[in-house]
Amino acid sequence: MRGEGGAAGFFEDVHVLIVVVLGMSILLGSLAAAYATHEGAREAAALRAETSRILRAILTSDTLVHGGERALIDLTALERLNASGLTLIAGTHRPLQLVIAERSGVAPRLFFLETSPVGLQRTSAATAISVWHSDLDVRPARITVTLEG
Amino acid sequence: MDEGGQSALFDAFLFFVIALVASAAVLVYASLTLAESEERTRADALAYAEDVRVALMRSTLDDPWYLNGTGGIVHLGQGVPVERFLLDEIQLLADGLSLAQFSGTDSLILDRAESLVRSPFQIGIEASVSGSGNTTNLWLGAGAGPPSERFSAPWTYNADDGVEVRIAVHLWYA
Repeated sequence: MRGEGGAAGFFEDVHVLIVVVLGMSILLGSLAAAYATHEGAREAAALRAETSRILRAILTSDTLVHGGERALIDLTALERLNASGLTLIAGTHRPLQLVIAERSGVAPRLFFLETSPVGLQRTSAATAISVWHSDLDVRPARITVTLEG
Repeated sequence: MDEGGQSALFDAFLFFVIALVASAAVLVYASLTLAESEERTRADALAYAEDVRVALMRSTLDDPWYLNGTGGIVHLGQGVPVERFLLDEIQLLADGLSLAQFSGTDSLILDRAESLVRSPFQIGIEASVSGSGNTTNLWLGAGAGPPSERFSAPWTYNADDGVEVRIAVHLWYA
């Protein structure tokens, strides 16, 4: 049995309920958004760190560097490098792309190697290196490693 | 609305305000932890500047040249590293030659350096010699010198006669 007082009490409670539900929704929504963003950023940072590690592995690889000098890549070794060799140096089975672009010389060369096609979700790391053609011909180059994430 | 209803509504609004403030705090904290720290960015840029310096200095020039005191061309031959050329240049500048006498090879070195660095960086090369009373400076790059906000990779060479030569590669945001 509902009287006048009972109906008014119900409508008062509805206002309060709406405000509380709205506040809770905003709080839970922002917590969920913050968690999702944080997780995404953590994964992206891990991928960036992995890409940098692979770049360092290439710059110090005994099979690639000339005379044991870091970031001095031997031309012959670079021409011999294939996808399985790159996978071995990188130590990952994720799709990986290596681009080395010389910046001097009469005909600057571009080296491109892919272990398998890299998807749209990717991270890159790049720096400057040298490519050793001979003691009289050492060329500066840009190296870019792209890893699928 | 009776007194109890008003009190409940007030409490609800108070809760709403607290929820709003807490949400804002959570979002701000999340965005702050996302932002890469300035120190990390600076360390990466400094490491990159060092890589650029090493790659540029050990790269070789294809028969670099300069004009001697009488205006004659001096060819240095094949395979002269950029580092060797700059060391000789700064010593010759200290001995009285002018920058214009090296302009041909200097512009080639600068073009090479600019093509080597990746966006959004700009590059400049600074060399100086000191120790014999005077200091001579060389600047290859845009403007009169590097900006104050920069990432530098310097290297110092000590000659037997007490002369100290310093070559630095500077990077800055374009």
